[in-house]
Amino acid sequence: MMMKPNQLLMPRRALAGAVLPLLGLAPLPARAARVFRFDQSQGKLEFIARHLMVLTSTGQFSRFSCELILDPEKPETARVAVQVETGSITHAYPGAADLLRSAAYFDAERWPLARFSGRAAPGGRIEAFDLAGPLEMRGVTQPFTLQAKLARRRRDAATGAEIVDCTARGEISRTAFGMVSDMAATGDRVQLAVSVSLVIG
Amino acid sequence: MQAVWSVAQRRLHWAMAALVFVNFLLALVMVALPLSALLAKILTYQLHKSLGLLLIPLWAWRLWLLARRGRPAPVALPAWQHSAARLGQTVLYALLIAVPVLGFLSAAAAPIGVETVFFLILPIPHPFPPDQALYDVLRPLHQGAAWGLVLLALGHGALAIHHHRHGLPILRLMWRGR
Repeated sequence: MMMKPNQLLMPRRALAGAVLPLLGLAPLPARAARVFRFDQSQGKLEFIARHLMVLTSTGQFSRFSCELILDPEKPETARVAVQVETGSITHAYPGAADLLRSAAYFDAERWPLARFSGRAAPGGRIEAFDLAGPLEMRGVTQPFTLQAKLARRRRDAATGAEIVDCTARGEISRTAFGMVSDMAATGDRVQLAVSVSLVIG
Repeated sequence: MQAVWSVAQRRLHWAMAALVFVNFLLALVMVALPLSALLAKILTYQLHKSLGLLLIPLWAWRLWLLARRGRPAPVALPAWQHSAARLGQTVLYALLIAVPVLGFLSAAAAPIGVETVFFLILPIPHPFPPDQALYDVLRPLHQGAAWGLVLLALGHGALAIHHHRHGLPILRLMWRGR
């Protein structure tokens, strides 16, 4: 039987109940915030650059860690902390990862870590909420906002686990972080995109 | 069978020959360009893809003209040379379509996932998402077929010049029409 998309969206209260037994932690009071910790093994962190306004290319960070504190009843209290190893860049085009690790871009040798810590902005819903805070990269700190979404609940065919897919996107100005190379070929705005599957049961 | 190649057939022949050689040289340049010349690299890749895609409708047009208008009567050559020429031309026609199609498919399969935008104006949707395993098959096929096309075209041209020097009108018919 087909279900309407809005029937598949997890109601706040149901999600609250579903996320409680997470991570093997002792049960907490029903309305407590939950801590989701994940890294590259459960999700991916990509960056998408635009070239000549009509083309895009995508790279990934293969090592990062993230801690998301989320009370499904109160998404406005959500917090996130992300740490990324800038030297872990991967890119499908040969040589591109080396270029991006170089001093012209992430300068991974000098600045091996990028960090973001964000708090939810007021007015968010559990299906879509903003996480805003400082992003530190290349020795520069700039305000940054991630638009997070919790997608429909699904069951993983292989493991049988119940999963909620979480995606978050935000855009940075690379020049604001001192990355000013190849401006004629690559646009200033670069998208950062996180996607992760949160196991809820 | 017509007495001469039509103007459209001759123009298409030379236009496609020029496109093939220019695009082949462009491919050598775009691959060799370092990433430090990023703008030039992106532009040459997109130009290479656009010129390659242009070959596909030109090829179809040329085939349609051949079916509709035919070709001039064969010049006096030994039978085996006629057969060899016909075989060479058939392979040339096959490569003229195989090379750009394989190129487009390998661009689609390329893990980098950069779009194909015809002369940076018209986006051409890829038929499937990036796929490393498929790319590993398609890319060398495209490259090998391209080298085959260029070498065969050079041989085709050299033979036309050879016959011209021996008084046969093959080159003249395609160059001047009579």
